[in-house]
Amino acid sequence: MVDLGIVTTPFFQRALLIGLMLGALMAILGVFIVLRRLSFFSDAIGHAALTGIALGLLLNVNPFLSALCYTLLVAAAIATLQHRSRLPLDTILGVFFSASVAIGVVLVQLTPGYQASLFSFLFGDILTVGTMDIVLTLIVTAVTLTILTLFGKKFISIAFNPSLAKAEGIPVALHETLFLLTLAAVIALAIKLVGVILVTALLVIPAASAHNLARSLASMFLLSVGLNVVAVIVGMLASVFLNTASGPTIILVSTAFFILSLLLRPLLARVPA
Amino acid sequence: MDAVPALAVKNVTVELGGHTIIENISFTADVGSTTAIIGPNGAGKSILLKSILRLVPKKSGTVQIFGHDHAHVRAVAPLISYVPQVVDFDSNFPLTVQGLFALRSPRLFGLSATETDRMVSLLRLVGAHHLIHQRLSLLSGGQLQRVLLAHSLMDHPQLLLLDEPAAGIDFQGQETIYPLLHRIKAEERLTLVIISHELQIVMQYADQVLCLNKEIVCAGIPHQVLTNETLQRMYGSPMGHFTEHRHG
Repeated sequence: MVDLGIVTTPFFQRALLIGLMLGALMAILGVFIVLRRLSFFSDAIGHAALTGIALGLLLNVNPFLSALCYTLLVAAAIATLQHRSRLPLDTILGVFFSASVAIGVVLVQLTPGYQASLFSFLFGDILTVGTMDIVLTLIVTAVTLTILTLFGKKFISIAFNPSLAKAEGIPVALHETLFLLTLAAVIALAIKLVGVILVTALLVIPAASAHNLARSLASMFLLSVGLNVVAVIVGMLASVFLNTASGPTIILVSTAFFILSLLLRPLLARVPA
Repeated sequence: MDAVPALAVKNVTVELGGHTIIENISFTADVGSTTAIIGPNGAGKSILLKSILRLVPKKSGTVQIFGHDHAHVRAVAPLISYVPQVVDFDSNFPLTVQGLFALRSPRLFGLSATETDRMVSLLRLVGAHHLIHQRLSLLSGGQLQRVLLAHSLMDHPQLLLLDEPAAGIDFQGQETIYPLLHRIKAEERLTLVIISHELQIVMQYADQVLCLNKEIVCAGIPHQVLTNETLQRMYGSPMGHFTEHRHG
């Protein structure tokens, strides 16, 4: 028998609030990721967060605070290597991706008593959010929204054509680094919601669905946010009814929206603008 | 005292991957003038424009734009604009013509009323105002070139660099793009630097021509410097077609 009382409890509502905030934020960032083709970067950062979490457990500090610091460091290192080495970005990301997972798993294994919680780091456990997580989420959300307000159009100009953006006087490398750092911060927080494995899905899938349906940039942003917010609400409620993990359930709802968008895309193409 | 030129390039050399692409290039473009850069494929014409814009690093030399070193981005960026030969972008990028213009606005969303008026008048000037709500990915080569030209003028630049503006445009478009540029130059009080393959156009519209083949082969007033001898030195074969039109 499903206990529906859980939905009315403060911890569920707190989790829903965090989910909605992060879901909306990630949907906005997801649009930039899809347009800039940075899905693999978000995956690499997501996996790097595992090492940050493991370091936090080992050093006895809030694991998501340590994940935040570590992902920022990794994002800065990737951005520096991207602009200073001749290696292609996907090669740099491949190295960081593999090394981060390996270090993270070894560190978790070295931390006595924490192996059991590895599952929650890999797949998320939003129902266990604490006060510190809420404070961190509020701070990162405020900072991210400020950055997007100030520099969002420049990020889009760079995504459209980096050479044209540079010719217009936009410092491309500086803005790309700023965007990667912002993304790293949000990914570190989203680990709580959906875990290391699925964090990219929460960023990319709603934006990809919106990309299938939108005719303008504004409608792509609105659709991406709308779809992710609905996926978080439906996914969290469904996880209670089905007694499944909340993160994967949210992603499954989001994937269903993506399949629907693929089916609708040819129909929308026939409708005149 | 001489007036400050719109563009002053001095002894610029660019090396890419260990190869010298352009060597020791020097020229100036006076305010309000039209400079045409001609040369065979691989002569380094586009690289010269890109080095002026700092899109590729130069090995040596200086570039000044209205007296400012081109590295002073804050001072130089409002003065200069650029229309590339080809703009590569994802064909699924959901950006409309209006959306492209909105990216230049300091506003969070869209354009102000003044900016909208400016956009409409520029699109009307290039004959593309009917495309305002069209997605960029659905435009033809000629339509996109006109939109990019209007877009490049949005912030009232004083120096406009164009890399083969007629490339990728159908014949009818090629016939109209240069008279259009000439009209825009007068209306917007621009200094133009244009890469062109069309010698007739150069003779008709340019105040000075720069013949480039990794280094400067000739420079000066088109009717004086574009001789069969210099063209043969640059292209490596006689320019019969050009001769016929020139004397025809």
